[in-house]
This record gives sequence, structure tokens and C-alpha cells, in this order.
Amino acid sequence: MKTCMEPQTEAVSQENIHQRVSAMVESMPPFPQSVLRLMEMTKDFNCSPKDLVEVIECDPVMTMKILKLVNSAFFSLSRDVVSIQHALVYLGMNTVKNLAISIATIDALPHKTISELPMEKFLTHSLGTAFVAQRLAKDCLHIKDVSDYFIAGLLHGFGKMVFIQLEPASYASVLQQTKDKNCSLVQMEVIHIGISYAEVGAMLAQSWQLPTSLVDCIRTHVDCDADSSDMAISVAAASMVATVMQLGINGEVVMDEFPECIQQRLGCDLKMIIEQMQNLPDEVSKIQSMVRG
Amino acid sequence: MIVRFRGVRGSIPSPGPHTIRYGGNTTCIEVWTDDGELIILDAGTGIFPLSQTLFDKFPLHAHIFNTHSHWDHIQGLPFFIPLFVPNNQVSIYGAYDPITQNGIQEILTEQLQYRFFPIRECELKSQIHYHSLQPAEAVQIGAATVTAVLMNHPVVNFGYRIDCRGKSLFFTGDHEPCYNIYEPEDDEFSMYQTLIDQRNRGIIDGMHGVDMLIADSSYTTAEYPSKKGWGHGTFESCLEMAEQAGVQQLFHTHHEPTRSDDALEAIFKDALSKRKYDLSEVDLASEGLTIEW
Repeated sequence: MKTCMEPQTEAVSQENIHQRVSAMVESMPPFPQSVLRLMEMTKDFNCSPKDLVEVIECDPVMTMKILKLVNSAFFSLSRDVVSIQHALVYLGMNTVKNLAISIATIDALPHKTISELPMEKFLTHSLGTAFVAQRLAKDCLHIKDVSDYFIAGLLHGFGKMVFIQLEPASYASVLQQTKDKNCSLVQMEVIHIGISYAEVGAMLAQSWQLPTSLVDCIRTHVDCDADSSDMAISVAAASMVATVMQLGINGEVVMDEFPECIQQRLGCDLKMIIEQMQNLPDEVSKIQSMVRG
Repeated sequence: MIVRFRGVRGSIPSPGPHTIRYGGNTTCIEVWTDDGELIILDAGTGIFPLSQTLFDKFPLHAHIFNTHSHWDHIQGLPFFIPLFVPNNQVSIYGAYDPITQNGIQEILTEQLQYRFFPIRECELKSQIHYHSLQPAEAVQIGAATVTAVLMNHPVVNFGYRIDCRGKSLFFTGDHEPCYNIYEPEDDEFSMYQTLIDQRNRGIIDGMHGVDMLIADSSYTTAEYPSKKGWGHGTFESCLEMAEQAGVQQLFHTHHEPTRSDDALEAIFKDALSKRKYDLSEVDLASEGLTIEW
């Protein structure tokens, strides 16, 4: 991979970006397939809570908004709510269902998409990352409750969606240049936009009062070292696995190997993980058909 | 402390020859603390007969705690006569609604729209104070402390604990013990069970050691499977809750609207004969029943 040394031409101040990102938060649309599936499912008062959880947690926008609300000052719960199941236990099935419907109804506006990173492909990558992050946490790090790893994987690239809504043309150009020059996406984002998708995603997650562990993971998974959290390591590795396996698109270049710190923490290399993940495309398409109904 | 049941019926008022002994009004409990404060738990239709006994106490300050916003718990509110009389004060407490994102004031404002009621909220002569509560928030009313506990129902529902000079009671509002949405063979089963156990423990802690527990016992154990997820408890679940919380006395309330007095007594007798818990003071709540201690 090359290092990009082009001068910063379109730098935007942190403060300006923060304001624009914050303004974007409420207008982010959920994925249409999950909205349609949700509307169809919830026509039945007795719809299965299990199916509902599955559809909601495959939609990053809906998931983030529900977690944002449950963790907000209005509820001031004594502990962080980090998963949709957790939200369900506190708020109950009907409230979570209606929250999801209201988010879907209010926000089902046409959203921008770019050919360099189509939403559908981006969702596939996010789901793949979520699935692998959960598996790595369970199998390699022996973590018992891995539901927040799924969400971390699902939301790790959320900042890219914000860029697409906010600066579709500039971001298309950043993606194209990353591909042409085979260099780091984060570096290109910083040069041309002034901020990385990881930082934007973390800012968004922070302003939505999501748990600190999730915010830190979104911010740091692009720059792991020996001190990184298990969650950041799992998500970074999972995203690389999904990229190498060409599961969807995430706009990043393909890596040959995990960085040393990831390899050491997980106790295995990229090749070994990929061998174990041969069922990944099937699992992801299973989740996707669940979302589509 | 004086507790008087003014409405013990669930869902819809059920007057008639078959409900004379237990009463047909919907939920309302009148509580007088030892230092003379009036606390009213819910404003179902039972609040109307209560309000007719208050004329000689004007000007008064009534504190109405709403468990949740379903009809049978708010139906009587526009008919609470002290609202119309100058120099009275009425404080209304309850939950913030995450779906409409409105506070407790929305209930009365919506009920008093011109199409539904001849008098508008701004035409009420008393001073009304609204307090949207958060889970675990405590309110001081004279010598009494009223604490909100988040329960489980298809809308946000607070149970209320009243402590006053060493005496205490807890009213659940409508409540169904949380249950696992997964099957034992599902991967998520044990993770979800851990969340539920924590949640149920929090609820039990909220009512721990009270002198009197007033609990939603809408169904029999046999009826429950077809009503699962509707947000109500059973005779059995309430006895279990009372046992776990170490309460002294339990009153079953929220009687089914179609249940005649005879049928209610028959199922109560049956539940007592099958009970696994050794709780000496258990009874059915009935309209007009007064307990002073």
C-alpha cells in the first residue's frame, strides 16, 4: 500500500464538520429493506419478538437511534444498554416495535447513494463484519456476551454513510482515488475532507450518547495497537476478513495480513480465520433474506 | 397510612349485577399519608367517585401518580372535580413517552381537546403541575417518598413505591414479568436470560419489604399462554413476586372486565389452593375496601 502525500485541498475545520455531522444525525434514513420488512411484520400484534430483534439489529440507523434513545437522559438507566435485546428487556416489545416503526416512518426518505459505495453493498460488508466480530470475540477471545460486538461491527463504518449523505461528490472522489492509488482510505479522507470516517462515526455515536466502549471502538478500530480494546481488535480484524472475502464493499484496499497487534491478540493469522469463515457468505445472505422477508 | 380502592377493574368499566361486590370502575387507589397528604395512584374511572368525597377539603393539593397512559388508567382524569375549582392544586406525575417524545402533560392536553371534551385544558381553574419522571426517580410529598420503578408493559409503565414514616406500599400498575424471547436451544437464550434476571431483580428490589403490594393479576395460569406479551400478570406470578420481595400483604387487582364476582372468587380460591408460597395475607382488591395501619 502506498502512502499518499498530496496537499490538503478541501480541508474543512473540525468545528464546521462537527456541526454539519450533528445536523445530519437526525436525517439519516434507515435501510429501506428493513423498513419494509418491519412494516410487514408489525401488522401482526403478535409478531415474534425474536424476528423483530433480528430485523432491527441488521439496520445500523434504526439500531443506533434506538440505543441512543434508551441510553438518553430521559430514561437515565443505571447501566448502559448496548444491544437491541437489552433495549427490549427494559422497554418491552411493544415500545421497541413502535420506536422502530416511528423511526422507519419518519425517516423513510430517499437517501443519496454513490456508485463507488452502493448502500446495499455497504450493508453487506457491515453485516459480514458484525458476524465475524462476534465469532472472533467468542472463539478467539472467549468472551461470553458478544451481542455488543455484533453492533460494533455493524456500526464501525457508519461514518461513511454520513459522508455519502453530506458530501456525495467529494466522497466518491476520495473512494476513487483510494482505489486508483491503492492507499489508505482513512488517510485520503483526512487529506481531502479533513476528518476520517472513524472519527465522524465516533462523533455521531458520542452525540447520541452510545456507550463509551462502542464510541471508542468506532474511533480506534482503524488504528489498532497493543493497547486497543478487544472490541476494536475484533472489529478491525472482522472488517479485513469481510474485505478479503469480497463480502460487499467498504471502499478499503485489500490487506494481505493482520497487523502484528491483531494477530497476537487473536492468536491466529488472517488466512486461518478465512479458512474458518467459509460459511460467512451464506450466513450473511441468511441475515439479509431475513431483513428482506 | 390509609389506602382505599376506588377502581379495581382492568381495561374497561364493567358495571352491572355481576360485578357489584368487587366493583366495575377502572384503576384508581386513594392513599392518605400519616401527615395528611393525598396521593392518588392512577386516574381510571374510580377517580370520579373519589373526587366527590373531597369537597370539604378544598382548597386541596392532590398528587396523582399515573402508572401509564392506557385508557383504563386515565379515563377518569377529566372528571377529577378538583381540577375545575380555583385555589386547588393538582400535581400529575408519570412517564415520558419515547414514541411521541412527549412528557406526562400530553395526557390531559390530548383528553381535553375540544372534539373530545367541552372544557379545554387552559380553562381549568386549579393550578396544575406536571412532572415527567425517570426510572428510579423519587419525589418527596410531605413526609412521604414516592419512587418510580420501571415495570414491563406494552407502554412505559411505572410501579410506585410509597414510604412514609416506616410504612410502605407498592403498586405495580400493569405488569407482566419479563420472559425469555428465545428457546433454550438458541445461542442467545442464556445471554437474554441474564438480562432478564437482572431486570426482574431490579423490580423485586424496588418493592422489597413493603407492608402492602397491590399487583396486576389479570389472568389465571391457564389463561396466560394465549395472553403472553399483553403485559399483565397472573395470580401465580404475583404470589411469586410477593414471596421474592418479602412483602407482608398482597392485594390482587386489575380484574378482568368479563369476570363476574363469583368467577373471580372461584379462581382466587383455586389459585390459593395451588400456591407454592407461604404468604399469610392475600386478598382480592374490591372497590371501597379501606385499609388503615
